[in-house]
Amino acid sequence: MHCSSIRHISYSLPDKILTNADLASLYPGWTEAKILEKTGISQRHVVTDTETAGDLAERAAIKLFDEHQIDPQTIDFILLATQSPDYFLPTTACMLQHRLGIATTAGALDFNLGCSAYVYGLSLAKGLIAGGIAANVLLLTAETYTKHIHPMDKSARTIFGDAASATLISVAETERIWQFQLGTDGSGFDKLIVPAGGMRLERSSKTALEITDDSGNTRSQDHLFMDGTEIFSFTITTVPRTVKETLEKNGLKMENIDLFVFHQANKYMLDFLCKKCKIAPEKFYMNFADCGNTVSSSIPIALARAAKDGTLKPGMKVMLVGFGVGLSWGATIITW
Amino acid sequence: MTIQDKIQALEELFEADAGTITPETALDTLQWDSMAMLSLIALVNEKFGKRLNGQQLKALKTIQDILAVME
Repeated sequence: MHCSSIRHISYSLPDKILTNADLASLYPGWTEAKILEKTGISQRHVVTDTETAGDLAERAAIKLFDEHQIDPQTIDFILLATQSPDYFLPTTACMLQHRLGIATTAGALDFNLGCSAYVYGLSLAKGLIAGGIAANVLLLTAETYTKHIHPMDKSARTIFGDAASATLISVAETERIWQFQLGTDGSGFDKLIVPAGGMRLERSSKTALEITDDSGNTRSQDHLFMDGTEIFSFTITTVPRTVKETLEKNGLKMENIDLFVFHQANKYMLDFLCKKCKIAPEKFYMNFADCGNTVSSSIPIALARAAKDGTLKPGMKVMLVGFGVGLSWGATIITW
Repeated sequence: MTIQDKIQALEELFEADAGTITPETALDTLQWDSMAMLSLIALVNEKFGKRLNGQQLKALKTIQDILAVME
């Protein structure tokens, strides 16, 4: 069995910015300060009408190649996590093979997961390397949730931002990606959903009908719906259990972990999880004030930033935990 | 937790002045918004180890209803 390791991470944020002042001007009764206090987010980067997840992923991959002098021809597998693909078909990862100048001998596939996707992507990359199928896996995450969100859905628009990340996972001398603890509960499929637009319910004038809910959020079935209270309730019960199970599976204790990088959902949720999991705040990394909740890119962006600002040092053991839409969750430990 | 402790915790949750909340207080006279709901889910989970779902939250009308789940 071959061992694997994360070699490099880069990320890309779209240029356009949505500030708290922009949101406060749209939603009566809201102030910039209140939005920042409740979410820990001061601005989000959002795509324009003509930018896609494929474009963001391409930019993140090119940054990875440039920043770390990587020859695209050495990549032999592309994994792309997205729920906003450029087309129903073909696969966005296949188009990226050509756009990035990666050899036609490389494998490529998309997989449809959200906030848990990065951890799942690492598990797939580890499996491909362990099985001798690939030696250099390019794991891409790219999401444009803002395209799914109604402009007057206050809660979703405040939280989510668009982004992409690129991670190179390569065959290594020693194993630096530990065991995974994964989980799924499809009974909660409708707690975070875009109801119309797929084959189950095609878009129509009926699905485009706008409804304003009790909290004053407007959306139609063509838009993203998030039941915030249900997602919060799911998270605060599932994540602490997953942290414990991941430690047990890897034969480690809390004190063996040098840094915890959870999906960067929002400040309120993360503060609660940090306390509930009894993690020392200095070991609990949060860095999303300028980009919001970037779904599948939130963990790799946090890792790249922690490495850059000196929080994350070589040799550290880091626990990664992703959780959200599906409902789906996953955790692992990496040695940086 | 005594009933006084629970009321006090709810006054903090709703950012209401001490002594202004009673079991009869209707939730629609307080700031019963999505953030308050998240705070209540967190409080009930932390202090009573229970998981509140959306349906249970929607059924809550008064402080007394909340006190009934804080057990």
